[in-house]
Amino acid sequence: MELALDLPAQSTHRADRLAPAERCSDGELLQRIAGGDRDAFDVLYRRFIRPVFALALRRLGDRGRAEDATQETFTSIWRSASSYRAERGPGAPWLYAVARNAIVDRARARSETPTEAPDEASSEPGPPDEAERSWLAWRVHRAMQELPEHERPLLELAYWSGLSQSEIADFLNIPLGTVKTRTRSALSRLADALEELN
Amino acid sequence: MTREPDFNELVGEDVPAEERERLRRAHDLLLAAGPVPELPPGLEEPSFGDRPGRLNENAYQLLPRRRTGAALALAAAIALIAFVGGYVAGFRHDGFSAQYSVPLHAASGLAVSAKIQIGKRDSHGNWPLRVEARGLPKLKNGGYYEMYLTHGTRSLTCGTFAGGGPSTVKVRLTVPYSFHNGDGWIVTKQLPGHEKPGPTVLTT
Repeated sequence: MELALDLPAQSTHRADRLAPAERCSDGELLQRIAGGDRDAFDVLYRRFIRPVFALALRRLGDRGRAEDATQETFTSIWRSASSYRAERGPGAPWLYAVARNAIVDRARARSETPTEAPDEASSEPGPPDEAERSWLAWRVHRAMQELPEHERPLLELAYWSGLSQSEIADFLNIPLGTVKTRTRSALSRLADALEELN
Repeated sequence: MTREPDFNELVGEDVPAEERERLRRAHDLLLAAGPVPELPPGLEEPSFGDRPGRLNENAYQLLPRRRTGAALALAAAIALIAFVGGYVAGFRHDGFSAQYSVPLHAASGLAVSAKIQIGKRDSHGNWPLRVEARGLPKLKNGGYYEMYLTHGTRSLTCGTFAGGGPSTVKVRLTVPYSFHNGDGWIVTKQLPGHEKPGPTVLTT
């Protein structure tokens, strides 16, 4: 995988007048990136690298190809951020479209024409279902990035590692009450973030 | 199959109904979304091919500082390649595709910013390298720099280059042997009539 980014020099005096990139919405970051703001790109990268990679892996099923597609996605974001129009909607759906296109391109490059059509309908989810699932996962993974560092691992351990609250307390060596408090807080923040993304 | 978390255990019983419903939606979405996969090292950090200092600064924090000119017994640079690889993604610059980047540190207190980029080995077994250094002293009287791959007390040359002064020197080198045979890189200063290898000016 090769990236060819032609980056303009960073405009520091402009950045001084602007709010820190961390506080910007996704759309605002895209607008800054369109102007060559590397800090904005860094922040956007950290927000979306996991959702993009997860989407690519889900679609391509291969970590190496997913990594390539992820890099292509961020190259595309850098190059085409100027085509984002805030009046058409928030940044996350635009980014999702860019990611999906890069991943589809990567998948298409690999696809082979089947020699025979299958006799029976596949039990796999069809494109619409898969698209819906992918979009849902994208939003959730993006929202997870909004959680504080001391809360996110609690949800990851509970939901994706299958640990009970007691096991999480043992694992992280924190009191069970703290686990419960933080978990509820994390779920609440996640609900907030998901509502904002909808 | 991972155990599905118990919603009631997670949020408790004392949550108002409306909030409970909101949390339940988040809970259901988390289950439906599935886990975020672990990122490969190459995606941990964004990287830019012409981003002086940035990549180097990040990678530098992972490495012990070497304040002396000792060129031998370098830390396992090959392992570092994989480690530091987390801070790079492939990029192209002047036709060069870097797979990894390893920072070089000035061995004698010079204010030098330098790194080695390692490209993809071709089908014949050639590894392209690219050395970027800013702040190297310009050598007079035909002096030049030479880069070596080290392995214990042994060293294999990777090539020579001239340059220095205030501008950044960028040179491409090619070596036909595997880096797995080495434990680091050094750059030496070679002056005419002096024994090789000359004093070390940069080390990994």
